[in-house]
Amino acid sequence: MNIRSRALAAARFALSAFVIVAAVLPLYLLAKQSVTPELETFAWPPHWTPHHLTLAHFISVFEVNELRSAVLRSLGVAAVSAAIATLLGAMLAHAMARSSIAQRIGLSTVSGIRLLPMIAVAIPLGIILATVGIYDSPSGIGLAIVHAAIAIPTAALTLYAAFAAIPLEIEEAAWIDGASPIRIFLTIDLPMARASIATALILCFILSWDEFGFALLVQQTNRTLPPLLYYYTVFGNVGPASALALLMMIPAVCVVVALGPALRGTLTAGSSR
Amino acid sequence: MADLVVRNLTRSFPSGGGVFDISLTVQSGEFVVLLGPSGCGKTTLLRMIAGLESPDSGEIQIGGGNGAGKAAHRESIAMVFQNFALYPHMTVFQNISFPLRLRRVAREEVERRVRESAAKAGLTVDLKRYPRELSGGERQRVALARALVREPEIILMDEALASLDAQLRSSLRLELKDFQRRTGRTFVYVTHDQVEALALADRLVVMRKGRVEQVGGPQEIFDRPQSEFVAAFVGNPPMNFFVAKRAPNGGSLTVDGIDFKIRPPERSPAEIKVGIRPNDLSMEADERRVAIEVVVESVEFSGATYVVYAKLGHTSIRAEVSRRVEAGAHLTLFFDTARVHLFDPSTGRRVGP
Repeated sequence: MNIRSRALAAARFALSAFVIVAAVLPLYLLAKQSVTPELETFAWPPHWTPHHLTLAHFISVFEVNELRSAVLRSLGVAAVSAAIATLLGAMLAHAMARSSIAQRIGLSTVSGIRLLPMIAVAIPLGIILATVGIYDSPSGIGLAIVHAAIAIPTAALTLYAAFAAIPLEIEEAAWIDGASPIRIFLTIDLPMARASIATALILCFILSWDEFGFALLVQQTNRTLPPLLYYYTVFGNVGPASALALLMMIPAVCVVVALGPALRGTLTAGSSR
Repeated sequence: MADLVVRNLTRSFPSGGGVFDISLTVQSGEFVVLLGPSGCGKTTLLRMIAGLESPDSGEIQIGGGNGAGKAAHRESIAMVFQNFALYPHMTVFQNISFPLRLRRVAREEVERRVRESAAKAGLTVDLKRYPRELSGGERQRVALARALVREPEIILMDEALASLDAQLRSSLRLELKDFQRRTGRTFVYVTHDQVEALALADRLVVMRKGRVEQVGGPQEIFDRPQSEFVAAFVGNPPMNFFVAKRAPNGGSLTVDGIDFKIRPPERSPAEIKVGIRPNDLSMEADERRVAIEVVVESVEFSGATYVVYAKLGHTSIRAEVSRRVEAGAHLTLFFDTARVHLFDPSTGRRVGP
């Protein structure tokens, strides 16, 4: 190995190390805060490792009534919005995969929505929800609808390649066998794209789970977890906030551990053969 | 059972392909094969009969009822696709029963009819297996059983054997023909394989560039091709063609100065294309036959016969003979003037005999 490639290898190592530290260090600090007593958190100079351990923050998090309902609300909103977004996104993706006009309109609309500054539609959305009577509802249904709307492009783009990969012949065979278009979609297309459907559901779920801006606006008093976490931090409850933040990571970690390999496959599906 | 009638059907594509003004009647219980090279419109025609594609003009009737794509029309046809189009996420049983489940047929009857049509299609595998676990031939049988299970009047097949290997293809061909006889169903079968077409068809529809070139029984198509295109397309090894000149004052036809001793039909053009099938050229001498001298260039052994590639003057010629000959040899070949085909070179139509 010559000097040049050695230097290159060292540079590569240094860069990788930097990326890992940048990603892991905040997580470590968060975990540390969540088990450090309140007083020690603000010690100066800061402690890299906690001198005293406590579970008080976690216990307090579970004892607060508001938090329990926030967890349930967040789960509900994420599940409902993921289901709606995946179903509607699947219909859009199927149209895009089967018609070139739909593909052109769909792709430009979908990427247009993603480029749109979300805050620009926040006030009108709030007014619409208030008019309909689901603003700040305890069930979080208003927020679920907003999240579904935001997540549709993600779902559609995830599913587009999956539907494009289903041979047209199979749908035609089903049509000749006597199936209606909606029947074909439900009994042929959806089951055949099930791996990508799972991916889309998960991505949409996570999208809603840690969405902050609309949640803050729409669920003023009946909060979901991200705004709740925000209020904890703002009011100086660093310990419980850290514990809560750590707990919020559980779904994401579960997804990565359980579905990591499958997810990698479907996320890049269609990009190469 | 009902006839299938196609009237003045036209569908053109921007690419210039399509079908143009096709009329065709398929009798109930008949096995009709649409034959032609790729891009001749045979698949488009089949897809329009199926209702998967709508014509620009013209109509399709089954048993007098009009309208491809309508529910009653769709009810009376089934289709087997080139790649079988089985539902990969369903078991064999679920695949075959799909059309019945859509029609809310009672459970016991579904069970009975699935087993019945699986048996008719010669399917012996466990019905709980998935299509991906089956061989090509088994998948073909599943597709056939699925087409059969709701007892359609007409079964459409699009190159349904093309993706199988040669041996399986020929055995399934036999079975398919037998199957059609037993069930008495009407079949419309699309293929570009002339061997398959001749073997299966009660009646052949030879197509070219979106138009019907000739309709007839296999024997008729082979023995009396109505155009140079049909003559060249059907038969293997392909027919020999020679440009022949008419000798002055009503004499016989000559090729490269060699007298073919064929009387041209009256009012025929000055130049005529003469077609002779390789298997109509023989090494056995006969009084009534015309002799031609050729120089052998190469020989191919085809199992039962030898295919000889030779030169007649400057013209290449193929002959199928029963005895081995050596390359470079001078050979005398004989043909029967009753078995030649004469075409008008400008129109391509048959002018005699």
